[in-house]
Amino acid sequence: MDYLSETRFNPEKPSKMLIDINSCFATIEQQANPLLRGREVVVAAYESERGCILAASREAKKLGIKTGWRVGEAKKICPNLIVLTPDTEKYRYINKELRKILLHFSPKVQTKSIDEFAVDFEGVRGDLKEKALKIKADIRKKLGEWMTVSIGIGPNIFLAKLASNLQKPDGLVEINQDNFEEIYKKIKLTDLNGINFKIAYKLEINGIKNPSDFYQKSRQELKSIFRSVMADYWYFRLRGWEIDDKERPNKKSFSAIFSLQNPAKNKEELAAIFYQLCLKVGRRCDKQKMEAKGIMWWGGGKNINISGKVRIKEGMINGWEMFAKIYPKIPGFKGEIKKAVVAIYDLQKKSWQGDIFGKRQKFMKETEVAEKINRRFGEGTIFPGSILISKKVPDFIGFGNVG
Amino acid sequence: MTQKVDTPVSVMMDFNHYQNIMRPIQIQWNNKDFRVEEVGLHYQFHRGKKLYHVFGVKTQGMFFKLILNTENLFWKLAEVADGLPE
Repeated sequence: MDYLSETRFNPEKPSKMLIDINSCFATIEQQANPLLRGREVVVAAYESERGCILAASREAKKLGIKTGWRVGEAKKICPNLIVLTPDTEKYRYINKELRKILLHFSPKVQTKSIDEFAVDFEGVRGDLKEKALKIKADIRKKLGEWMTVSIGIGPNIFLAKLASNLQKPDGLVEINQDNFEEIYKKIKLTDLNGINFKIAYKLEINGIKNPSDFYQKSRQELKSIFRSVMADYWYFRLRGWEIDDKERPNKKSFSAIFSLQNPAKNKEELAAIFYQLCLKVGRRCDKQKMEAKGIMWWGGGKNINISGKVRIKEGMINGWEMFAKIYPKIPGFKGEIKKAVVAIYDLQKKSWQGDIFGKRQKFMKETEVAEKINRRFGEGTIFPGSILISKKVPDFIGFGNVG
Repeated sequence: MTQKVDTPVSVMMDFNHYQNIMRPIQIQWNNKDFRVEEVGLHYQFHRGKKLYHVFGVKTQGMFFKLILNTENLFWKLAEVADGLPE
């Protein structure tokens, strides 16, 4: 933490790069289907009017269509809009291939999300702008000519991210000690990643109108505004010192949420959704070598709200066990459930070794074998009999950090 | 408009050993031949241990999503589109 006494902007040559796929899902769809290129395309959770838009092509964005809109809203602006549903395998493939390309340039590649990578070039020789142009060329050559990325270069990941947002699509911007002041004057507070309207309002009432004012404030002044460690984070971030690439502390909870296109109308249908969500959180928990001592579930729709939680002394270690705990607690209901959530909490390092009578051990062994079979023959080859009559939750990709 | 289909299809492939490129060059579907003009994206995925290769190809005004099951080397047509809104 040698920058803690620093008050100046980081004078080192920028070494961090952030690569962001422009309009990720929509661009990949246009790459896959050449007939869609140059057309207004959106990828939405569902094709129906109420489907939420996950990505809009650059042509659709030009008309003002934004991520998060409903399909119906977008069609009012663009009646000829082409609406596609997500093809997760395609997007995961592009994510993996892009990572492979970046690993040719530096061994320190961090996948920030499905469409974003941070690369650390510290100790790597050569000009970063030249490398960025080479990366763009490699992406076009290996993934396809329509695939464009915006690349930001900066002394820390935060400024590299800001730089990548300044020029879209196909941008390349560097923020360094010579141009940061000029850039801070041109942009708004909400252009800074992590500043939402609420925080921007808080800053504005304290006399900070733009990032340039934000930069001018002393640590003490920021401490009196934020009253937390965030003051230091912002102070150093804006000065180009790296505070965001630290290993994040272990997660305290995992959750999975699903919005149902066809609402669940009975316990069995809802249980099938909860089963899939339990498998998702269970796998993430297992990947982190953790076990969960608590699980909560919620299902809701118009005039209906059901939820519950279970706590057990010995931690739950896989999705099958999590589902087995909540299944008996799911009540029968009348109405339509449109959204379902499962969250596990009270996580701790996996410590379970076995039990005296071997009952749980047997269950664990069985579910382990079931997972192996599903891995080999495909998801859903073996599943609990309790969800026999119902349907499967489609695969989905989250937008958050994948760490 | 995109139409999801799941039907066997005849595909002619070309392998270029100089460039190590393999690509479909012709499709026969519904008793019609379609010459492939462009491969948009080629990617792979696993379903269990089975590996599938997917080719998004453009023919004369049509788009086809072709899937090759590498276990039995059978082709399936998964999607047909004309690139127009519904």
